[in-house]
Amino acid sequence: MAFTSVQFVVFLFLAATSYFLTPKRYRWVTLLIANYIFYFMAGAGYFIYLLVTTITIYFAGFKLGNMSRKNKTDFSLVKAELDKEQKKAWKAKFTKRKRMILIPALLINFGILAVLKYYNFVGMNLNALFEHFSIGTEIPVHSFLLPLGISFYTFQSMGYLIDVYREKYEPERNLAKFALFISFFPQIVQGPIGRYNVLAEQLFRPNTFSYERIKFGVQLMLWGAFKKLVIADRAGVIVDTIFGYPETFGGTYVAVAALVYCIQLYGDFSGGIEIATGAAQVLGIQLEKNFERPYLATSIPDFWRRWHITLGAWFRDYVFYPLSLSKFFTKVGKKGRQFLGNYIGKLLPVLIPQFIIFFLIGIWHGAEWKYIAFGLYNGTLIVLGILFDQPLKKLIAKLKINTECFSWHLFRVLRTLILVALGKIITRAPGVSASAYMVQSMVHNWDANILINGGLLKLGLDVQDLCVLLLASLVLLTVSLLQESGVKIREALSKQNLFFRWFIYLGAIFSLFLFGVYGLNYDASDFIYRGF
Amino acid sequence: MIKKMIDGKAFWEEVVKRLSKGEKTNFFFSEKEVLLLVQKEKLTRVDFDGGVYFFVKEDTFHRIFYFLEKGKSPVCLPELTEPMILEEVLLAARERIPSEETWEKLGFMPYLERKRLFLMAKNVIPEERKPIFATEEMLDELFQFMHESFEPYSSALPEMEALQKDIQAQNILISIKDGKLLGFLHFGEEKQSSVLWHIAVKQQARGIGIGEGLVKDWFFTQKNTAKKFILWVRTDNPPALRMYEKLGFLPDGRVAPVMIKNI
Amino acid sequence: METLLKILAELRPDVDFEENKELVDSGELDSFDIVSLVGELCEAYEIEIGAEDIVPENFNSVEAIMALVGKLQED
Repeated sequence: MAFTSVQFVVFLFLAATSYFLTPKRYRWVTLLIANYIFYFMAGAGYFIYLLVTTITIYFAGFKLGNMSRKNKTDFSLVKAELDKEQKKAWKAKFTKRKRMILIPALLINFGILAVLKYYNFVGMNLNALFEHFSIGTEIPVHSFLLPLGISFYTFQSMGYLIDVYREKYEPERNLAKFALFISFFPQIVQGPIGRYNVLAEQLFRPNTFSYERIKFGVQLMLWGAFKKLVIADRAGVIVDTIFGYPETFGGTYVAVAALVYCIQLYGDFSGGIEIATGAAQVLGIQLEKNFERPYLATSIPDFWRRWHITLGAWFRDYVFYPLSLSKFFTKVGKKGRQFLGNYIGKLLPVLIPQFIIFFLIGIWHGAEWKYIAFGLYNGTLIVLGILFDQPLKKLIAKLKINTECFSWHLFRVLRTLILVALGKIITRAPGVSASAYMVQSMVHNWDANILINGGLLKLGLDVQDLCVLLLASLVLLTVSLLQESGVKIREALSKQNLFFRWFIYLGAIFSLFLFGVYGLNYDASDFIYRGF
Repeated sequence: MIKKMIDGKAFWEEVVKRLSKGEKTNFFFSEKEVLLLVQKEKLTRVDFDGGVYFFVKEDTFHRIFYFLEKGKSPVCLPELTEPMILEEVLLAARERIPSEETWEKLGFMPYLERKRLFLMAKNVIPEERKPIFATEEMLDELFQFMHESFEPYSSALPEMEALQKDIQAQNILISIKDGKLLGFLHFGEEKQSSVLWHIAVKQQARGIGIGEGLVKDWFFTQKNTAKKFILWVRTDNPPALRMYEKLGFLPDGRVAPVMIKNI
Repeated sequence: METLLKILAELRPDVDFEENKELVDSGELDSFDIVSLVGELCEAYEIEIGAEDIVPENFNSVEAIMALVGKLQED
């Protein structure tokens, strides 16, 4: 069910009511049941995948926990008699044993995800290759429908297992409680990706009814719905038109499309996350932040620390650090210093894993060449940024450029925004060559007149809708700027006078119904990130 | 000896009898279509020991259909000046009988192969589109474009009159820029499905998603009337195959290899 | 019935023969299918089909085809 549908509101209401009416000891059970009902309604056939992941990870974690416990006691008994070499050997042997549990579990679950998501893409391209070389074989094409939230719950449970492997905490011994951890309905649709040590206790403890907290939760949900229904859905019409007919709408339209798509994507994704966070807050659970005013970022790395934060953090903790600190890459660093000089050499164990990470983030978005291109685009920007960080700093100092003033800050924000918008063109255009065509057309056929001669009215929105979009975006910008300077909106709001508060609330609800009217229950514009 | 067919009903009864006897054939018309062909005097036959050939005369070529008695092979083709097209519709999983070699002995060569793809309307991802239909002023430009874009035989290109009717029936979607035609999609209705007959994009405008856009326009205009979308795609056209597969089309098991003689 | 379903499933694995009662009218079975089917039916059930038997009503559902076969077996 869509987050902006009446169904979801009713479901949340019923879930919350049953939750708070349940005796405290069993509240977590009600939550688990609610999660499964939600998941079932998304499609009973997908349920099996969630079950497989739940059971395999639970048992793998359980086993690892037992092995770690036993190892600790065994080791403490003999360690007095072992020398350094022997201790090292013991550790290595134990790690190997743990790996025998971890690796198969990871392979099964990532394998399921990989096959469901990428089988078709790999098959199609291999077939094209076979055709090119006149090889007779043909891989049968099969379209797999992705289970709801598979990317998210797979990552969340893999993170848990790796943490247990690293002996960061004890595994969850209760299968039902573990099932609750990876099926939490507000986050299963599109994140944020949670960590066990932060999320679990909130899910298992009996959260108490609190008017204040529920009020904040509902406000957040309203704000998310506003972003999604009033901003994102409207922006989407313009974006669909321009990207749908690149041959007709070239030149400046491409720039318009890129910027408006940035607005649409942010409104849609962060709006959805806020509805999820608000819903969780109603139930007493705090989800982790996934967005931090990304378009106010001053550099590409900064952008990726503000956009889809939990995904970036996941890759950092479970891919980047293990890779860059691994023996293999330490060796690479050494060799690099030998052959490519000190500067590049020592950066190599950072550069290569970073590039790999962004390639992975690219294909995480979907099985198409354009997502690979997107990953490579970001990877290249990040690597170049790291490589030229020091030299650029020196240059700026030499040119005596003031880096503290507002204009420099603005320059950095705008520069980042342009780079981000270009990247977004790659993901939204119908293909890699289409995006190349569009960018080339943007430069070649630039005609800023379309902004004032009514060219913007050819894109599917009339004057009123365009104004609503503009005003709503300005509201969003204002809120973002306030938040960036430290203001906590919801708390500030509750400190205002009653009259003002209710003016804002009613204004928000009214605008949702008036301007989001075709949005509620509008199935066709499901969340862009939902098929993940 | 070539004989002209004049009795449609008798012909149809012969066809059914031969099918009942388990004769191999590439014939697949319905009774209605058979009667129409005979009426238009387009059907001729040549009998031989072991079977019979039927020829359907098109403007610049002949289409050949055969019936072969059990265990017999095709022989003695008549000498005709214009090219002959032999098209079969097979279930890919089954073997081809008679085999390509047999026909090659009679002078045929493999020409091309198509496979059939389908997509259930309910599986189409809904997307807002702004389709543009061809207008009658474009008739000549469209006709020329069509004849430039497809191979001369076995493409079932419509005549001017039929094309005009299709334009009037809003069965042709186009992509234009500055008044010039960049691409078009010609579709038709068959029972409860919508069938894509022809789609082409100008060489210089390829690679930017116009083809995909036209297909999406097709989906958009037919979403309330068609239960299924069907098309035939040439197997030697990987970019087209990938485009359709990306949109969710799946093969339904039918392939149509085409052989040709006399070009 | 089992044999018939098997023949049909091999011919058109993508069609739902159990549910659909308008196989020809809805376009699920077209003339190519009919042509292939006729040959198979005659061989499997040792019957002879006449021109007058090839009408949509006789092929619109599995039951209809079964009935046709039954009728022809008696002749």
